[in-house]
Parts: sequence; structure tokens; C-alpha cells
Amino acid sequence: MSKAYKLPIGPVHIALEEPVYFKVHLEGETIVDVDILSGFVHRGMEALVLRKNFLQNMIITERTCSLCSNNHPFTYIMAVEKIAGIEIPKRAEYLRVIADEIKRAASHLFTIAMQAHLIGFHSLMTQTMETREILQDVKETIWGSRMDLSANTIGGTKYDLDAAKTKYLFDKLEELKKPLRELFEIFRENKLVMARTKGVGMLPTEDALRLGVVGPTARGSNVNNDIRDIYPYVAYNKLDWNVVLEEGCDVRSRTLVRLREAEQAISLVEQCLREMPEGPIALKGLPRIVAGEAVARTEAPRGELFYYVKSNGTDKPERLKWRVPTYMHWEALRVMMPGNKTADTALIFNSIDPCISCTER
Amino acid sequence: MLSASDILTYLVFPGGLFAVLFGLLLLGFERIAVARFQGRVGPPLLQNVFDAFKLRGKEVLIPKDATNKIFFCIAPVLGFVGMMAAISILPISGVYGGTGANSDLIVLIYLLALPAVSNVMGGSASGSTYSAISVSREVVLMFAYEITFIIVLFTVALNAGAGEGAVFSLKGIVDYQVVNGSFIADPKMIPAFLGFVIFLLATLEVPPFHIAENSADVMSGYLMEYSGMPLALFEMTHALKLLVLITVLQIFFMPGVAGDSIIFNLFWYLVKSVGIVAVISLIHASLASFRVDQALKFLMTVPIALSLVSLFLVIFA
Repeated sequence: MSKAYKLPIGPVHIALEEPVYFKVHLEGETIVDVDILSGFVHRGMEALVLRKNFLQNMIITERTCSLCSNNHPFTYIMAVEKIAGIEIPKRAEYLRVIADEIKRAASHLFTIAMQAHLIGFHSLMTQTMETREILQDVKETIWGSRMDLSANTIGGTKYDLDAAKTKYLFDKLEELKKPLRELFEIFRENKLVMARTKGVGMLPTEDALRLGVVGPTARGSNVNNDIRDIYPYVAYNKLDWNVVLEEGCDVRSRTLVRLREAEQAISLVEQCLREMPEGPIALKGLPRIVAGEAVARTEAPRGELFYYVKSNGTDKPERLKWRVPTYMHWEALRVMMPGNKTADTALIFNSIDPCISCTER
Repeated sequence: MLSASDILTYLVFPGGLFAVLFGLLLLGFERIAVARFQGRVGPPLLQNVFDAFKLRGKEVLIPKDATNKIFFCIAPVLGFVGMMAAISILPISGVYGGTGANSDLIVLIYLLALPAVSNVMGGSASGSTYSAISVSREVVLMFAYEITFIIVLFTVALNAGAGEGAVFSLKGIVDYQVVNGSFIADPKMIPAFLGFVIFLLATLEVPPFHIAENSADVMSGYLMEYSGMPLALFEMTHALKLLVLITVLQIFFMPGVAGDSIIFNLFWYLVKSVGIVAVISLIHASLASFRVDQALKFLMTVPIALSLVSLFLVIFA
């Protein structure tokens, strides 16, 4: 079978979580090139948000995607606050970090579970999902929902932590540490996991810089573009943490970056809980959004999320545009895939932590 | 000439009805055990039996661009018949003597290759790209693991001959071990046993050899275009293959009997089979899968080396 042929993966395929279509050009078992076709879940959200007012749009942006559902309204709110010139209370800054980091850890663990599934290690997948379940419990207890937290609002946050909830969070995070360490050991040491992920889907540092990839994908190639670090927002510059970088440039490095970031999220949340000042959590009354435009950037679990908002003095935005991290990774896939085996197509695709519903919105 | 008892052994016990049902139950047990190891609930024990019944009533679809429609249709039958024949020649120690023919060990080599051949035949005839990739992997792996099997088989035959040539009768191998102790307790045979277990995992396509029908890229692989009764036949073949391999493992390495009573020995055989399946599911649940090139490299070195060690020990020690 040395003749070149094409293998369709998608739009609906067992290995894919969301609909996207890869036309994989193969020579024997080796990938030569890959065509990516998308647009199967376009919902016209950018047009929809123009018909709703600023408060309703917090709800709509949250529905863009489930795994980074906290970051969409968060970034949108930051942009709107910039237009309105709102300074949020100090306590809200810390509360926003807590919601963000809990979502980040849960999202990373989900991706890693999928990766374990794709290398045929289903026990590891269930183990990772069980670990993630602790975070799901936390989300359900504190925010009342397992996916959409609805934590932020224009001018602050919608939730507060009392003494009982703070203790609960501390306990749960403590409970999370041991299984997380165990997972880290398995992904770093296990021979079979190593054989399937090391040297697979290489994205050299130069290519990562050239293609402008973001998030853990870039940090796995030793490129620091963590928005929390280079363009700090809310309370991130007041906390003690370092950007996680790995030098392997392969699927394994991206996994290790995610696992270490999940561990770091625990430490960040604990710091927030300790250092959080007392005070109000949000501004009183409805804000007035004047005419103007603004951009905001945050570090979503998948990478840099970018929002542009333009208002004209009415209660509805005139234009709302967002750029999601996965969009920057499409082209990077064409660097990662060629030269690898068919069996790794889905694995490499998963390693960029794709979010199709964000990208096509 | 076929006698009535031959037909009975082929259709009811130990072949036919008993083997298919017990095989499907073992498959169900394996699924539950793996699920429990992974912290899931798993399907009901009878799920595979239900599946077989359900598929019997489903429409049989033959793809329009199947490259060879006749091969596509007879492939599942080939594997099924081969496994039925295999189970009817295998002796169950203390219960059933097998055919007793002096060369049935050689016949076994051919019969055991039939399910893989039927997969390859059906997959390549179905005209699907997924099947084509899956078939190419299956062929690659088959060449690698069959070598191990043949070396182990001759090692066992030579060891049962006890220095006076090889015993190519399954009954002879069983009888020798019943008298002289099981080969699994023989240090010379331990490497061969490990090699055989690797062969067994590779044939059954459980992790680390879940490659030819790896759902992450080729979905169902060679079964991609199958539906209805042919698919049910493939499932039953898989169940029979599990049973046949477990029985062969018992014949080669642990045919010990539990007394003179047939009922008791049958019970002992069932318990041993369930125990082996439990070990297989533990391995299944605790390993990731190789890629096909890695699996080939592994199969061409480790199990072959292990079985050769045993062969040399048996010949020269």
C-alpha cells in the first residue's frame, strides 16, 4: 500500500468530539498532508449579540462553548468595563481569578482524559475523569452548575464566598492534589504512554512563533505567550506564580504543560482564598455604557482569547468580534501532522485542545 | 464417516451451542471486569448474547462498491466454521478427549489462523478505506504473532515427548501433563508461557494490541461495512476465538484435573477459563495501546525471544 490515498476523518467520527472534517492524505500509514474543512456548527453568534443588550450578551457569550464558558463572558465583560470606565472592587478581582482557575483545571483535565482515550488507555481516561469530578463537584456546590458558572457580571462578580464555602474549597483542593500528582507521574513515566506521545506531532519553536500559536500549545513549544503573565489582568500580578514552559515541542510536552497548569491552578486558588480582601463584590446599580470601543484579552484554557466591543451609546453593542485560540492552531496542524502515522491523527488534533464551537460560533 | 456422536460434539458439546454461549458469556464477563477495573458499571453479563439475537433480525446491507460481493458474504462464515471446528477437536482434560488424532496439533495451526484470514478477506472485499487500513495492520500483526505461536507449539510438543521426539497429538500433550505435572510449573516452560500470553493478547486484539480496529482512527476497521447476521457471526467468532485460545492455553500449560468425576472436571475447566479471562481483563485495563509499527517491533522481538529461550532449554537441557 505505497500509493497515496485519502482517508476522510469526520465530519462525524468516533474520535472527534465536535464536527470537523479532515481529509488526510496518506502514503501507506504515513500522513503526507492534511486538509481541514470546518463550518459545520456555525450559529451566527456575532450577529445574534448585536440584537441583545449588554447584560443579555453575558449569557449568550457564555454559551459559545462549554469548556471555556467562563472566559467568554469574562473577556467580554472586561472589554465593556473598559468602555464604561468601571473599576471593579478588589475582592471581585480575586473572585474572578478563582472561577477562572477552577474552570482552567477542569478543562485541562478533560483534554488530557480525551488524550488517554485516544492512545487506547481507557483506564487512564476514567481515572482522569474521576479526578476532574472533584472539580465538577466544586463548581456545582459553589456556582450551582457543572459547566456554566455565570460567575462574572459587569462591575464585579455574581457570587461570594463565605467562611463555610472557603473551607469547603480548601478541603476539595487538598483532596485533588494526590490524584493529580499520580496522573502527572503516569503521563510522565509510563512507558507505553511515552511511546505513543513522545516525538509525536512536533511543532518546533520557530514554527510556533511564525504561526502565532497560543496557550498550552505554544508553551509546550517553549514559547511564553501567557496573557496572565505578559499582559496581566485582575489579580494575576499580585499572586505568586510562574509561567509553565516545556521544551519537548511534542504532544507529551503539551500534556505536561496542561497537567502542571492544573496543579498551578490549585496553588493560585489557595493564594486567592488566603489573600482575598473583604469588601463588596460588585458595583451597585446598572452601569451606563457610553459610546466607544475597547479590546480585552484573557488567557482561556486553550490560549489567548480576544474580544473587541464597539458601542454607540445605546444599550446594545454596535459590533462585537472575538478571536478564539483554536483559530490560530488550524495552520499549526499542517506542521504537526505530516510525517506522523494515521493512528496519531486524532491524538495530534486533540493535543491542540480544539474547540470547534468557539471557532465557528 | 460421520457418526451421530460426531455431529453431537460439533453442534452441542463441546462445539456449537455450548461453545457459542460460553464464549459470549466470557466476553460479557470480560467487558464487565474491564469496566469495574476502570470504575464503570459495564454492560449486563448477557449483553453479547442479546446483541447476537438482535443482529439476527437486522437487515443485511452489502455495500454497492464492495470489491467482491461473494467474498464479502462468505468471509464471516469462514471464520465461524473454523472456530467451531477448532473447538470440537480440542480436548478438555477429564471431560472430553477431542478427536485423538495424532496430528491435530498441526490442524490447530491452520484453524487458529482462520478468523484473522476471514477478517482480512471480509475487510478487503468491503471496499472501504477504513477497512483497507485495518486489514493492512491485521496482516502485519498476523505475520508477527503467528511465529511465536508456532515456536511455542513445537516447544510444547517436544517437551511432551520427553526426549523421544515430539507429540503432535493434543490428547497426548494433555495426558503427559496429567501424569507428569503441568508445564506451567516447569521452569523451562515459563518463557514460552509468557510468549503465549503475549500471542493471546495480540490475537484477541486487546490492549496493548488494540490496533486493527482502533476506534480513534479507523473506527470499526474491517467490520466497518458489516451489518445484521454477518456482523453477529463476526461477534460470535470473536467469542469462540476467546474460548478456543483459553482452552489451548489450558491444554498447553495447565490441563490439571480435579478428580475423576466428569461434572467436577467440567466445573474446574469453567473456573479456570473465567480465571484466565479475569487476568486478560486486568491486562486490558492497565495498558495503553501500541501503534502498529511499535507493536510489530515488539512482537518481532520479545515474544519470539521468550519462546526461543524455552525451545532451546527443552532441546538442550
